Amino acid sequence: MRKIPFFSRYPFLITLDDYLKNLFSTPPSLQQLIEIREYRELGIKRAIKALRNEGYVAGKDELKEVIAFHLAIFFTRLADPWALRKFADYESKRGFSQLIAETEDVIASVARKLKLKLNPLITESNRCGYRVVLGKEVRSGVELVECYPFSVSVPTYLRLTGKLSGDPKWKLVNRVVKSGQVFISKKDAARLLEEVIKQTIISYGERVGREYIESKYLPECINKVRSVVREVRGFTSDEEKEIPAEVKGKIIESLFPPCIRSIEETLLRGEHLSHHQRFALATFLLNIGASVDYVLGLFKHSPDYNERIARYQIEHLAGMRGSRKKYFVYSCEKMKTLGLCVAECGTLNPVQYYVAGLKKFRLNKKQFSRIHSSKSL
Amino acid sequence: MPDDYILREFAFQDYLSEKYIRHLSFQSLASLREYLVNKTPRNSYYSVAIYRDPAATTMEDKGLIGAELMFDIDSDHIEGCDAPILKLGGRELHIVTEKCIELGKEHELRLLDVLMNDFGFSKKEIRIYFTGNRGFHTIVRPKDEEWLKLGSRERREIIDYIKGVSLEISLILPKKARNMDKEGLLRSGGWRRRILVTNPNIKEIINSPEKVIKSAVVEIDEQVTQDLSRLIRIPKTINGKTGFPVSLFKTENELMSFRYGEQLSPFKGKALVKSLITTPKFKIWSYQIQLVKEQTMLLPLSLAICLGLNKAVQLLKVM
Repeated sequence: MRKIPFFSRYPFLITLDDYLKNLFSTPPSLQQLIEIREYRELGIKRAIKALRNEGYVAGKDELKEVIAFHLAIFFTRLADPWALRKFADYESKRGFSQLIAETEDVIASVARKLKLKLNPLITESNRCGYRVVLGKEVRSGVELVECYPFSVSVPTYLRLTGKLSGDPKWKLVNRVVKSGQVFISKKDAARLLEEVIKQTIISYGERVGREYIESKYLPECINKVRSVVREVRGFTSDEEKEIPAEVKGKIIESLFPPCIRSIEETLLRGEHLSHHQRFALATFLLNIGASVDYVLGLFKHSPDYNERIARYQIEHLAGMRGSRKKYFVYSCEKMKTLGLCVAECGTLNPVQYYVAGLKKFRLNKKQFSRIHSSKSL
Repeated sequence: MPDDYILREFAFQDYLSEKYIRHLSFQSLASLREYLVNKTPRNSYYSVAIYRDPAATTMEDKGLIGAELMFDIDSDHIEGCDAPILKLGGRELHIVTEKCIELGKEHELRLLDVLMNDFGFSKKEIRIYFTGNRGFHTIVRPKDEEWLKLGSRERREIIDYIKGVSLEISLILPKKARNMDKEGLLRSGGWRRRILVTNPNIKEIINSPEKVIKSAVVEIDEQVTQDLSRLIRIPKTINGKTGFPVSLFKTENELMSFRYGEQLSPFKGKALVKSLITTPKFKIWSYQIQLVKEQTMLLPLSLAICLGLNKAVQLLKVM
């Protein structure tokens, strides 16, 4: 591993511009790089390996690897939004697995380059860092010691662990926190860096996506990436946006997320719903394509149902009245705050859960028998 | 007031109509004072958030720069506080007792311990107020601007840390009690320290962790801390529910020597009042009182103001 040059291993640590400027007095443009078959093909290969979750081993030619990495970002960015996210996810995980094999000094150096304020606590004389004595082995008398070679500030830690805090291990409450610092192991430092790498790659993609490049090779590169997206996911992101014809105008209740199902069940039992429960249920249904009459039909089970008032409120949420603004369902985060979330689904909002279920549904039409037509209610 | 008051949104509740007037900003403290004197609002607030344009009417247009950290301890939400809710006509008034406020102070001290020892804030970064009613507001203006930029989700994690939500003893302490090094664990920080500070008996920690965790939890209002658009009462203004002023504690000693009671009211003397409602006998502060509609009586001015603010009496004459 040591023989592989630094930027071949960690190409996300430098922008393509900066890398090329260090080597050439007149750096080649992105367009010129795409014209070179060797770079173009390695770029596509890197993108495809990532999309298929296949192992990618970087070569010793640092220039080639850095160019191919950045071309892969460019191709995935233009091909499909999911492809860029997948590429970033894959490359950041790859980064993590390389970083845990590095010394603390290399990890600190990578963090500095990624502008992460990771405080190294190891010195020549102290190879443990922040040392915590937990106790002693009763028989041997050997001290039970925890070593924390790094710390990060509490706000930095909170910012980076947003997607990790579902795991109790990552919750701040279960961490060693002192004087505004969270103390972390080498492996945890690499895991936090994985999050930073992911964000860095996505931001490169967003930046490079704004560039206009005219190249006769570009459509072919993009199409190759798109075809692998279709192969892996079954569809591309723009195809996903179209509601499949067989489920258009129909609501599949078995695909509702647990929180919405729970609210619906409460309503069907004829129990009173809070304002937030009503808002969540109605906006969810309206946003997955249910008609006002469908929503109204459900709310008939409410003990305080009044058709005139309920219709007015639902039409208001649907953007048919008042400000003409169509309301979107609460985010999962908000649902948690309101105490309406009942399970960790890993989605941003309840509609996303439903849409993801629809995709699987398309692949498994046996569930079709469970469809209820929105007009039937 | 904070130095950056020109970047804060101000909001007031009108005395008579009780409607809220929001999205105001002031370019000088003199103009704020002038507004307060001329309008005599029922309640006066400013935003915990710092905006580019605080007077804009939508959050998008206001342009959020960041928000201070805010913690609210309502003493009547703490176990052991027995504060009945007074029903004055159509209004409800939570009058707490001295015992409740003492419990609130205990939780405030626990909060200060976490803010200073665990989060590393200095005394200069922390402001503590008595809200004029049920408890304490603690505002942190961190020097490290990264704190100000935390969103609701990150603030939710701070709440969980302070309240011990999702704390797993097995993740923070070694399994066998006899192996533990108390001093080492105390020095290490986090909940290890918090638990051992409140309960040095390690066996009890292992045998009944829930009880031990409870003794170190700070009862903060979760909604307040995670809401970036929250409003803070302006210091020294009157709380429109009690007539007590919002008071700032300059030192921890001032907080410790704080005593709850009618002496907090700046309104001294007596007042002739007419009852607007009839109530059964009730206790408020050191008084036992019963109101009979249309009856006039002489009351201490502090009590008359409190009941007047709650539309239970009408002030006829200040004596």
